[in-house]
Amino acid sequence: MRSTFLRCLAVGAAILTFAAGALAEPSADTPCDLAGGAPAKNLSVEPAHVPIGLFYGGADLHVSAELPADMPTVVLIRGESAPLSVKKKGKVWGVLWMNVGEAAYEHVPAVYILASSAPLKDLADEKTLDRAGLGYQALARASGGDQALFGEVVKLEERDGLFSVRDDGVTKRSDAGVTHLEASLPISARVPAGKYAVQVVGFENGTPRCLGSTTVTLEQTGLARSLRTIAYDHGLLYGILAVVVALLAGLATGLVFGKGASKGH
Amino acid sequence: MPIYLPVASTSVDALLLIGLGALVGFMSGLFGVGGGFLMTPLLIMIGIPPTVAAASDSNQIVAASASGTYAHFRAGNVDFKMGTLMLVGGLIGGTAGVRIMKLLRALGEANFVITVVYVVMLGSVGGYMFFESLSALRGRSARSESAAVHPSTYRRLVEALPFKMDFPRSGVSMSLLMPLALGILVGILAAIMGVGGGFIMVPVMVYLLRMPMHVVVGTSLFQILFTCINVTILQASMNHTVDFILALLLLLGSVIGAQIGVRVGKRLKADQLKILLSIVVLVVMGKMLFGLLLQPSVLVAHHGGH
Repeated sequence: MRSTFLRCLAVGAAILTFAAGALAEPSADTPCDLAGGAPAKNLSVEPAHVPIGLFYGGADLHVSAELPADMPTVVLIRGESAPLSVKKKGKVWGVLWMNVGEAAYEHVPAVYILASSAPLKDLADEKTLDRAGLGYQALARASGGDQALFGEVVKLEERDGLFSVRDDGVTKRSDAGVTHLEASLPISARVPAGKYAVQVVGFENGTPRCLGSTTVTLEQTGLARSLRTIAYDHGLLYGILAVVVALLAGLATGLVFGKGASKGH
Repeated sequence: MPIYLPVASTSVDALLLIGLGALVGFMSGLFGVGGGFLMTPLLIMIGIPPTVAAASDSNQIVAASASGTYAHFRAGNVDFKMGTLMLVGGLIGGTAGVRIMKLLRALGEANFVITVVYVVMLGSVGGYMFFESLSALRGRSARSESAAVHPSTYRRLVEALPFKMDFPRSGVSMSLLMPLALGILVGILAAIMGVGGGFIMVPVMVYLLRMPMHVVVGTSLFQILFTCINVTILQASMNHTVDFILALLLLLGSVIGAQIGVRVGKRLKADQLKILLSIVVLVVMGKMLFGLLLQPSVLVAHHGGH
């Protein structure tokens, strides 16, 4: 009886520990893992919901807020971290540039778009930025992989429009004793659908403080969404339909041009 | 005009895709190649993930080759008998090639071997076609006379093979083992190099099967049509990498490009066609070689490309 009770207690404790661990994991909903300062007021992101339809070509997000004081500020959109494996290019036999192996990282954010009111290196020292997860250097240190090569991973992600760090994206203006923040963040069409945290971080004497956070949701809609669903859930049918449409298009053009050609000869 | 590609998860200019389709479709109709060896790298260059680029391109080639095959069929340029035999060989070879590829990967250094084979292959096929057509354009009669007097070892070997068959459309007669075996060979090479194989198939039919150039183009397109139907359905059902919107825009351009290619092809002599194709093949080889010799701007890449 007593041992059963103890076992229940142990299981209960394990569940609680697991739940606490899960809560501690950073996710899109719990973005700011920094100590909070006096919060920013009226924090908003426009648009907060981005529909990805057939004519979507990326979006520009505008973040606005009222800051508690005039301080250097960073606005960051960050996707969930996940393992990433890339092919490494190197010289083979001293002549040919080819894939020579793989580099694996444990934690690389899917998306990392940062805008700041001044260059990051002017806001705080390296260690502080690393702890706050701000800047590419911080990402490299937290990646759990080849740090020397991480610069190349950044280039790859920047080329794909998934990473960007700009020190001119945040503007501040003071009006009747209130500092207004305006930030503009480019979202490329490559940023996958999902919910992303938008964090506002202010620096007080070189110490980063979480001023607030909100979320932005990118969602596929309409035909784009239906096509993607069919492609993933009914792959065979999708493939057959794609082939049938291609065949019909090819033959129809053949017929149309064929008529013209027979007149010509 | 930006358009969103739901499977590739990216946005590109619709007119750019139609234009690319038209260009590659034109070459397809003109030379009887699928054009994947040109289109896939171009798509990767404009930001399409490599696996989606290759799979969606094969969907597009279905349309272009259907359009081209139909036009060539009307002109009497498709040898169905020869095409079917080579197709059967190609399917067997393709399956074998995928296995060989796995074995090569397990041995390591596979990438290096494949790339070198690819460049050497493109260089020798392109170079041989170029010089052969050039000399043919200069003085055809002298060469064919000497060939008639001294039949080559290859010719004697081919004539000794059993199961002889007439191919009236191509005007040749040979053992059915020839197209079957060459189909297998091209299938293996194509699978290893990750391409459709049209640009190897065309020279093989011209030089080893001695088929007339115009029938070669039509027959090659006929085979490519079936190969690409197979690849599209496999990729869509197993890897979910076919982006229909991408393929649709490409095929809008390519079906028309293919028709124009067929018409232009009719006005050109066989040797002019061969020399043009050889130049395209040599340019692709040159680009690959440059890519291998120059340091890439980014020293890492996503999985799935060449």
